[in-house]
Amino acid sequence: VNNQIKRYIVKFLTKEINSQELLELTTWLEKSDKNKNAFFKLKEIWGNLNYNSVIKNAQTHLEWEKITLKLHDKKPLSSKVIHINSAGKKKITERFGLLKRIAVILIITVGLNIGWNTFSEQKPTITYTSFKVPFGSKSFIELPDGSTVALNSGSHLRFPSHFEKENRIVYLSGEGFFKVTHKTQKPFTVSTKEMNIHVLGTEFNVMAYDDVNHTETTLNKGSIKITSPDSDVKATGIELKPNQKATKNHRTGKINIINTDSKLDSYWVENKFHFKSIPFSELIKRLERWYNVEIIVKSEYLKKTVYSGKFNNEESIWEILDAIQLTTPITYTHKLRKIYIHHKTQ
Amino acid sequence: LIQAKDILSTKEAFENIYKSFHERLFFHATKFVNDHEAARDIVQEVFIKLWLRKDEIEINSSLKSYLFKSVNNTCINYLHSEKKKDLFLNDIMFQIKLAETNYYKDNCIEEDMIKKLMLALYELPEKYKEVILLSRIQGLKNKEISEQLNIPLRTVETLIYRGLKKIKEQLKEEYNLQLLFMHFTQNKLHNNIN
Repeated sequence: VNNQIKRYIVKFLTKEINSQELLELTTWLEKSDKNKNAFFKLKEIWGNLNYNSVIKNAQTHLEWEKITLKLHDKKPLSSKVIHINSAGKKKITERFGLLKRIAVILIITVGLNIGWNTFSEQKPTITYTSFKVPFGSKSFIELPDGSTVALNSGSHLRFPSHFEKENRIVYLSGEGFFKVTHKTQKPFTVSTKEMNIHVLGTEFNVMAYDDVNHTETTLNKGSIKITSPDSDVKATGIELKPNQKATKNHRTGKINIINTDSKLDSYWVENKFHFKSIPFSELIKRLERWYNVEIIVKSEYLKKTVYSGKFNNEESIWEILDAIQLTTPITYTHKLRKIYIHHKTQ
Repeated sequence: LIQAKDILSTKEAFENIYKSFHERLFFHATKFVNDHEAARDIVQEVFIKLWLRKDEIEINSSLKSYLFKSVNNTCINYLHSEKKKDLFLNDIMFQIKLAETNYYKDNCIEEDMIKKLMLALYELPEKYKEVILLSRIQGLKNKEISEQLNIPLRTVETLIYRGLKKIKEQLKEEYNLQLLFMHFTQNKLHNNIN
């Protein structure tokens, strides 16, 4: 192996290779099986070095729950063929048209597109729609069963174009307020990284952002059941009553239930911004998502303080910062979309 | 020859199999598809098929290699469909990935093997270990490493290469990297899976 090729191999592994170099590397690979072997051995070692951090994303327990939900009635897979017709797609587009005022990036991905073959109808195909709401916007989605979801900034919702016969599962990362159509025979499940919420028909808010260290579900109406495989509640789950909130701490795995005014947690749906005794650092994260800015806090003291407040989304980020300034000794400066917050010293 | 239905007589048996292989299969899939969500879906599909078609599936090697091969095949199908959409893969990368799936025999990842690998990494001389940790574990770009350690970019690349070579030599015996060509297409298993 000459030195040039060695460098290309490393660049390939670190994903820093350009197309010209890639071409030369491939030419070298094609020369012999020995070359390929040498390359793939190094690639395998490189790949395996990341094992421990990658498997953190396997979500073994949640995936098992999904499998058991899917296999609920043990029907053969081939009888669950889901046809994606043009009408279904059109529906999505029309609904999307209604959302013109709201900036939404619609990405249609084919999720379980296994054994795809256009000529065979024997094979199961489930098409998933992914909605990604950019920072600084919100979105409102109607699901195939008529249930509705309001999605907060920076959220991602993934759902099938048609729900299966026996269940309705959607996948959420971020925050959503759900109004679920009642269907006794067809439970609705919101699946998040740390918590699953099982529903018959109801209204509730779920907050499950990847960069926040806890997951919250607040029930407004009806009843829901929460399961969380790696916590103390396991598969049996906890039932929530209206005006109760379940918070899971990702670090300890503990789930706490408190009584609350459920309206507070879904204020954002009406463009109101409400928070009660949250750490300053979390307030900053919310503001970043809400206004699509980057906020850098230059004070360890501020990071430790706790904050409560209520704003309307009509207010600008500057008005909010000014309001915080009234009660907390801060100053701020900004450069483009970056805002720096300092602790004001006397 | 193992009949799948014999080892999957109860749901508990299925659950045990699932729990002992899920993480490793997920990891295997992420190597090809570079996307956690897709990898989870692929592994889930393999398990669902195993359960629903247990009466038809005959396993002519071991359950372990059946599962890894199924994930391989499902990844190939996924890569084909992704390529159709021309979203993430340019042609050359696609060819490399296909070649790679061909070169894994039944690359069963054992936790024991990962431990040995990490041990080999930590036993490397400091200069190799440092660049590999910064690159692989901390995710720094080669240029950032070169700036941080104040060494030329080429040296960073050489150190990574040599470090990997050293790990490879270290693991020669335990870490059995048999990368033989797989004839999936002539494999009866393949017909059952797809």
